[in-house]
Amino acid sequence: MADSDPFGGEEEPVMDISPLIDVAFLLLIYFLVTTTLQKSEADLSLVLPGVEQEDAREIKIDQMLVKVEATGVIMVNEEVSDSDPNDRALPNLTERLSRYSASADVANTETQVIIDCDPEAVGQRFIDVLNVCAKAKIKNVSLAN
Amino acid sequence: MAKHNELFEGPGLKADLSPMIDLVFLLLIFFMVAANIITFPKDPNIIIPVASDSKVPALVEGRVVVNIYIDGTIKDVDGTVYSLDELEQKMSQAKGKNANTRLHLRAHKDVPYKHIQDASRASSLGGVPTVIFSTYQVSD
Repeated sequence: MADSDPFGGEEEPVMDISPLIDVAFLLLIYFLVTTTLQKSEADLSLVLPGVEQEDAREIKIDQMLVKVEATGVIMVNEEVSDSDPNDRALPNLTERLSRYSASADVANTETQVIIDCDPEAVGQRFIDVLNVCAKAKIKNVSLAN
Repeated sequence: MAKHNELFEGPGLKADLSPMIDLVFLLLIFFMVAANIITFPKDPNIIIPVASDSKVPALVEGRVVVNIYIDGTIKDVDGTVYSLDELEQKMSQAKGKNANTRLHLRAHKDVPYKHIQDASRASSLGGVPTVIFSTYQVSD
């Protein structure tokens, strides 16, 4: 074996991995110290009307008015949809908007939801409605004045 | 003396470091993946709403981040207070620099809607119609 060694040595070369372990530990300690378990924030977006798209074509628009009362009651086209202000899932509105979205796809019409929120309604309730729109894949959402 | 040295002759005791290195690398990779890259300062005084169908963004480029406190105060991430007119002006300037500008609203979950509407309208009047609402993603 010794004859076949091109370096003429008798011992096998050994790599010193101590610096590697040092660096790995330093990085580990750095991440342990700096990491804070913070919830990441997610987006719900809304494009306000008033901007004309260049490639705008004539489309049939079927509107739906969702009203948010100050008490948190949700009304759709003047009918009470979800009356429990603590229920954030809004099951009736979800079902209604999902059907609306599906029927618009079949009829090849554009969906548009107008959210008319009471000025004193809390932000969370408005987000709840916006979330239901996102769930029903309705992108054309505008705010009533 | 010679007898004493005989005790240490031979290959000697060597600790096998491989499992430890494996573990260290696993922990390192875990923290590297779990680390939340701070893209902009988030004011902890604002408790943002929750939503199940919101999406965690990959990029936050082109966003003007604005905090709306429970009393309706509008501040940017540096803590500068803005009136609605100033916000409109800020959005207009941002739009001039970057056509892809969007308003990123971090509104407190209990803030009255009128403040959200006012800020959104100011942004729209400043030429930025896209408003992004910050939410915490939760499952149904």
